[in-house]
Amino acid sequence: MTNISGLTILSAIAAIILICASIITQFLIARKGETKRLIWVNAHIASWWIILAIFLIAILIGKYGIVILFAICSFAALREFLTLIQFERGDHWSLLAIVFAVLPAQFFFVAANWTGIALVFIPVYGFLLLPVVSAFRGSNSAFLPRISQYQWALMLCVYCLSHLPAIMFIEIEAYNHNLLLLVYLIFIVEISKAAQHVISSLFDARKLAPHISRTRNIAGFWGGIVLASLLGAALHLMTPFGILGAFAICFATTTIGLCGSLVMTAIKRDRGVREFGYAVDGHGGFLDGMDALLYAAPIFYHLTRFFWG
Amino acid sequence: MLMTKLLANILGQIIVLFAQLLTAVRPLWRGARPENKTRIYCGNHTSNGDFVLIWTALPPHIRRMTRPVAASDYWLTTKVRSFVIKYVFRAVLVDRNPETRTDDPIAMMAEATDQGGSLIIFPEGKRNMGDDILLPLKTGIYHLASKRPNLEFVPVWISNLNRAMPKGEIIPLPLLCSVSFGTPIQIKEGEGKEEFLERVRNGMLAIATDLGESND
Repeated sequence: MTNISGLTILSAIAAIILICASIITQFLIARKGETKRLIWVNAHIASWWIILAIFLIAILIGKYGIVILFAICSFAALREFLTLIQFERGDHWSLLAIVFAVLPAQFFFVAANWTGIALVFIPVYGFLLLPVVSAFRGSNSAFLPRISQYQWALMLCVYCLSHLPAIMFIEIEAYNHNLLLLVYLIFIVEISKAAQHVISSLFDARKLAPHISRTRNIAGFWGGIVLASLLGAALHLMTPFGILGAFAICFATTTIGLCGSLVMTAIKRDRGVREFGYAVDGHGGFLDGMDALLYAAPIFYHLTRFFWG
Repeated sequence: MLMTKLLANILGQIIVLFAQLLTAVRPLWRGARPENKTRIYCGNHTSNGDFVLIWTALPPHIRRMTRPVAASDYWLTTKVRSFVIKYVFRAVLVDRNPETRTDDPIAMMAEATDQGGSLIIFPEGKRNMGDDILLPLKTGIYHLASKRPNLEFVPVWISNLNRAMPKGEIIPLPLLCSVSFGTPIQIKEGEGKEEFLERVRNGMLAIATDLGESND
């Protein structure tokens, strides 16, 4: 029951934040008219409403519902990533295997709680076998770049992402609100991203990575991490961690998460796109929303399992 | 007849859903607005799924009045194919072989537009499998334009579907695709064949250049 009530409280908090945000933007739109920035903000809020609704539905279905939900996210993320990579006709079957065989298999292993195989299936067997298909069917031109790029797509969009639903299956002593823990992770990481964005635009500081991002600076980076970690510590009752443990795990997770977001931005800049996709109202795709989470998920998963599992 | 219509509608919905799932197809109305006008959509042809994608990218009320022009010598060969092309897509079926055909394709298309239907045409005449991004256009659209000078010819550019579904592959790969609609072109009085075809071709190429796709 505490599981339900905890989630109810959290959804209520999220809903209140979203209601406030919606009212404020509508108010600003009414006063200042529809500026570009306000339209952007409004679209993002709308997308968070949708995410909240979908999440609540998945919660009702239970932990297998969560696995399916993230498998769909993985498919959508993969669709965006594969659009940007270079490949040739000979790779068609390697890529089909990634989408229609490796992806379902990985999420099946997660749902079946076969932890061992879920952890090595893609990094070992996917890594070794997929290029074999390309070698049999494709040419040798740009072979290494081709196979490397789809390995990246697979690791990020399937392997890393599958750690999110895997949190549902960690056995933790005297704690069985794993869904709450998953929501906690997503919440903290997204807060760190938002805080980084806001603090970077409010304060002048040295650029974090001037060649990759013109907006992010050191103040935003550390500010986002510390703010999210403090919030994480404050919400430690949701978790099995204790207040210091929660701070430490949030610190590690958001640090790697924001670094991941930077790496994903670098990939976007390299491929010459502003955003990975246009899933929600033409304002960014799945990968744009999940970039930091994909990096954060394995770290959070491992730390939780190692210290509390 | 009611059952046929119902089945065709359901099948049409399934095809649209499937295309959206695989490609998340995004319509980009660059030079035109989606309007309830009788138009000829002239697309680049690189994959078997091209007309399905244009059809899917159109808003439902326009999709309902839009019919692809398809080759009867391919589509009428099996029962399933002919059901799909006749009742789901309600295609204007033309025979590509001048020796066996009984009806003039241009006349059939003109008649279809008279009944208020928009058409999807691939004016390159065949699938483009070479390195050039667009082949020279066939003269059919010029003859149609001279027969019905009020028709708007909308240049359309499909991106990425040839990567999702390369020639010879049956299973498509999920990749984001977009369908861009350029500025509509109408035939001018006394305009020559070469001139008109050049304008339509340039309209298509202009979108490709805008999107950053070019021959090199």
